[in-house]
Amino acid sequence: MRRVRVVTEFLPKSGERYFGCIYMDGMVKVRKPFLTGDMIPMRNVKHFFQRVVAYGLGALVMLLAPVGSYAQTTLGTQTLSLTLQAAGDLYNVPTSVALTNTGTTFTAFKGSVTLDYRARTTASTGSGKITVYASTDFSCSGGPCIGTPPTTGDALTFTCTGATLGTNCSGSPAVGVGTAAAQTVVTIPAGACTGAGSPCNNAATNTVSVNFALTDDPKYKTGSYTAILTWTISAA
Amino acid sequence: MKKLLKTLPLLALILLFTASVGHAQSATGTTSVTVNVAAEAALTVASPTALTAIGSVFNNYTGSTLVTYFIRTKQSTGSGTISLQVTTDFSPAGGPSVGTPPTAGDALKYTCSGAAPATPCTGSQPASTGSSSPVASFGADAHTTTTAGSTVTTSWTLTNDPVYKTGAYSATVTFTISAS
Repeated sequence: MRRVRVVTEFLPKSGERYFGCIYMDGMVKVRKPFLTGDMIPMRNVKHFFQRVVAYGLGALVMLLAPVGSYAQTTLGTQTLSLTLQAAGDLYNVPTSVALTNTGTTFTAFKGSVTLDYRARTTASTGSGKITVYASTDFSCSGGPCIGTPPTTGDALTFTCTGATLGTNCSGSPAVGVGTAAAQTVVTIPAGACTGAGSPCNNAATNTVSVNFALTDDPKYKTGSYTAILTWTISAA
Repeated sequence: MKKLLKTLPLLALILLFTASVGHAQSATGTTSVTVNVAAEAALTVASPTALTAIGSVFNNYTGSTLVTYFIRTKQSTGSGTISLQVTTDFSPAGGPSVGTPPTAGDALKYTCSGAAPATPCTGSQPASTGSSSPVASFGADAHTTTTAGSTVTTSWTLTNDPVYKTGAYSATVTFTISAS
């Protein structure tokens, strides 16, 4: 095997793993440190150069290929199509609302929430809505109760105002318990969409205010009571 | 380098999941509705109450006032009261007076009656212009149980002093309810 003599050696630069050394025909990087005067097996050096040359040529070919292939032929066409489905989403649903009353004259407890929503309904035949129902009633042990109120007429009712897409609920519906008792908050018509510009012309996100009222029945025992409401938006 | 290549797919997955959660959108959402029910009380008073005397032998003037109330007191430590006070004495002058009766012993007095949750006052109570007088009291966890409210009645007696000049006289009695 041919060997070449190291003429000059130098230490690896910061971060490099290789030492360098120079022999008469050129420079090469090696893993082991060689000192001036050492004999390096030429096979290793030669192969390294061969790989460098091969890789270098390959890279050059790849770089030049787009230049060389500029004159291209259309191989075919593809049609892209998109079908937008009806959709609806609720955003940032308030996690809680506190009902309060003022004074000491048994006026109804009141509170309000604002719902953010977006919707898209099918043109001509579509529709959508936001509904609400009590998924968990008050504890009903001496306090308010939606399902079985202590006095006939006690109720958690709501009104809807300011819907920026669709129609507010009318009157003061009473919240019911369970999905079967869901009440409509907003009715969304056919061909509706959310968006500030054309063709929607409403807002980037639509909103509606829901205002609750709970009967203040003297029968309620003092204490804190909690119910959980579930909101649902649907669009077709 | 190998470690980086191994962690990149996991990192991408985390970023994708974070993006979807951060948008906070859903077809459904829930809201907790909370209410703090506190002690409360309210009343209405039938007005006016006419005091009349039967016969012509200076029998005392009598009459009654119906007080309708709604009350809720705290469950364990609550209480409540209904009281009254003559906030405007009889006028015009020359007739009866609660604050300065023309004859010692002339007085406007009352008795109380009513059902639970109230405990009516006992005996004949003197009405006063200077301080309130008891009508009913309530204990802990007291509740009005009907939509029409609960009631107490004050039955009045006013001395028919011959010193009184003839004429029409009126006073104002203020009823107050409290609950805790």
